[in-house]
Amino acid sequence: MRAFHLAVPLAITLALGACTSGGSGSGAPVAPIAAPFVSPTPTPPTVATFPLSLVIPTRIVSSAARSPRYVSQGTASFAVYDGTTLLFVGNYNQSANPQITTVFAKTGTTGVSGGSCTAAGTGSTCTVTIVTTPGAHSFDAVTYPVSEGQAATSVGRAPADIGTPPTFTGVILAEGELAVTLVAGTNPGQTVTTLGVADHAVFTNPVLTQHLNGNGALVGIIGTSYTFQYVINDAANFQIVQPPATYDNGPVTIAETDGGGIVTMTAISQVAPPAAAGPQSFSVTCAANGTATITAGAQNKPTATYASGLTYSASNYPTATIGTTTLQCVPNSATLPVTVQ
Amino acid sequence: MRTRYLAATVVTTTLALAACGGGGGAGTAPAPSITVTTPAPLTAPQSNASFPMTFTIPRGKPSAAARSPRFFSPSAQAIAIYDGTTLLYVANLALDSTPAFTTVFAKSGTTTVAFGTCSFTNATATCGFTVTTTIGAHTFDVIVYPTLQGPNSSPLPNAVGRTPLDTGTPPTFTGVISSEGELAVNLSPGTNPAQTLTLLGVADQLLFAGLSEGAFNSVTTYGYRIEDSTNSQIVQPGNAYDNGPVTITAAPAGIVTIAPNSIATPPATVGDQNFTVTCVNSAGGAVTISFNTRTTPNTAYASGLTYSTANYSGSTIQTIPFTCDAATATIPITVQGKKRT
Repeated sequence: MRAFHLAVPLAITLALGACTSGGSGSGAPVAPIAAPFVSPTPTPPTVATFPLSLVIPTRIVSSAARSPRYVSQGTASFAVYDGTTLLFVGNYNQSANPQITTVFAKTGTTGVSGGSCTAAGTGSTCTVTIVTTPGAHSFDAVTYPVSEGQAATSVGRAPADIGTPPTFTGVILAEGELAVTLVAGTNPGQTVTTLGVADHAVFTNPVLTQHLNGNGALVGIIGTSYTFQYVINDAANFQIVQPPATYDNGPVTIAETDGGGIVTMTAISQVAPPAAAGPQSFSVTCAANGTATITAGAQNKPTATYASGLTYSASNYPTATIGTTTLQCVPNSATLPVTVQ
Repeated sequence: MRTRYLAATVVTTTLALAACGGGGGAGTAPAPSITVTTPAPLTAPQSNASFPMTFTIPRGKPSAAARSPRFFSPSAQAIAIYDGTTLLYVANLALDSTPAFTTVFAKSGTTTVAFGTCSFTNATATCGFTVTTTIGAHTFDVIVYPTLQGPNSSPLPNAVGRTPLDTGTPPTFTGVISSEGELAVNLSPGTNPAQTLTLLGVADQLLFAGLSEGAFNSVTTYGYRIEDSTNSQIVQPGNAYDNGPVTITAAPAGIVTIAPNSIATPPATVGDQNFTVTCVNSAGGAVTISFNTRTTPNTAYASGLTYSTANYSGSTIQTIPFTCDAATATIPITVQGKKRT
């Protein structure tokens, strides 16, 4: 697994330029934070400002010490949308100063006045201050495992103009939405809760001891139960753990998909990531002669319909199959040719 | 004891004895000669005597050239196969027939034996079979008998026309075991690498040739062959006797010394072996030379058979009477006479 160590505090502060009162917030699919605000003054300002934050955990050298979160340690960039409007794209570098480099920041009536990161606990909190109109807004945050635009890790790519949205690369690590109704003036800050995108399942097969035909492949024996371990990782190869309580593209399913009934197992439909880092497990029992294919799957698009309206494809989102493993089962039978002399 | 005639040539035997014990009766085949040498007598006259002594080994085989006197003798007439203490298979053998076996008992169930083919040459006899059983550790024992097994327990002229027993009924074994061996394997699923089981011959009888009388300090060389219960000499590749070592003792003690007095390893090829008897007591005397073996195998086989004189060799497989003459003396006597005039 790659050892990404990233701590990006992302705080997006929205400053509303117009003093229109807010509309209704868009549907917040997974962990929306509905934060309606009441105008405090009889003469409302024309704009609303809103600090929006995103906490990015620090990359830690030791895997044991890692604290995978719904915002991946592998986060290298993030984007903030207001509805379908891209407001901000920033690259994050934990060891840089400043940690956030603006790739794109929208200006105008709805724009971002700036972005910065500050250390916060085991990570960094990156905040952008959004200026927009009062009323209902749905702010989406999307994180990526690679830098966008002029990021150093984007080989050969010229830095993007701050006024030009980049062409995003990389499979989305996590995304989330915050539906709020803003009031004129400065609104309380909110932190976006993003959901990890299950990108691939890493299986650890059971330790088999029987070689077929003496020195052939390791196989399972019909009638014997075997335990597989697995972890569900994001595109940066970090395990997705709670919080929050769901995957962005969940549930993650694990089942035999060869159709041959080679093994018996209780199919898994895992809605919630594990509470703590570490492998999970399931058991199968060899039931017939053959090779069982066990497949981990997820949705190839978010369970929720985000306001950003992104188009999801294999280039920016996992496919439906996020991992497979196999187990060859053979009868509990051996033949031994013997020559007696 | 069976009447045997062992060919031996005694040369350079110089005796000061008035009477010399002769060997066995002359036979037809002047098999390998045995040289018996005794030291020169103390007194003249000296004489050299040589005589051929032959032995023949009666066999069911029409030609001696076809005999395969090995520990797995082609004269074997039955074979039993065990998995641990479970009897798997019993077959009567007719190695020069097709098929070479007749199934007497075959266990059904998860562990089965498929008997293959047998072959024999002048020097070797082999049989093949395939065991099908569960994976894991197994200990297979193979036991060879000199007689047919089954209802007609007495040896039959041949196996032709013999009706196999019900495969569900193990026979009551008859005859002294001629050889046995064990194969411990940890079976993998599928077809395992072929194994060769080398049986160990059970020393059951002994042929010998040599003078039955010696002078004081003389060395008498005996030729001998150790055979199994099929009348075949036990030879390698089995590097031990199943009930060895074969020890050679003389009673009462103090009259002769014997070298070697313990035979642990069968000879590499068919032929006579030798041991010497030296008269060491000037008073002479008669001794009984005994060839001794264990009454049970050296190895605790997994089959757990109960060994008795009904199915295993006795503790003494041969005895030889031998007489040492008392030391002789020469007395020069001068007789004086008076010449008549």
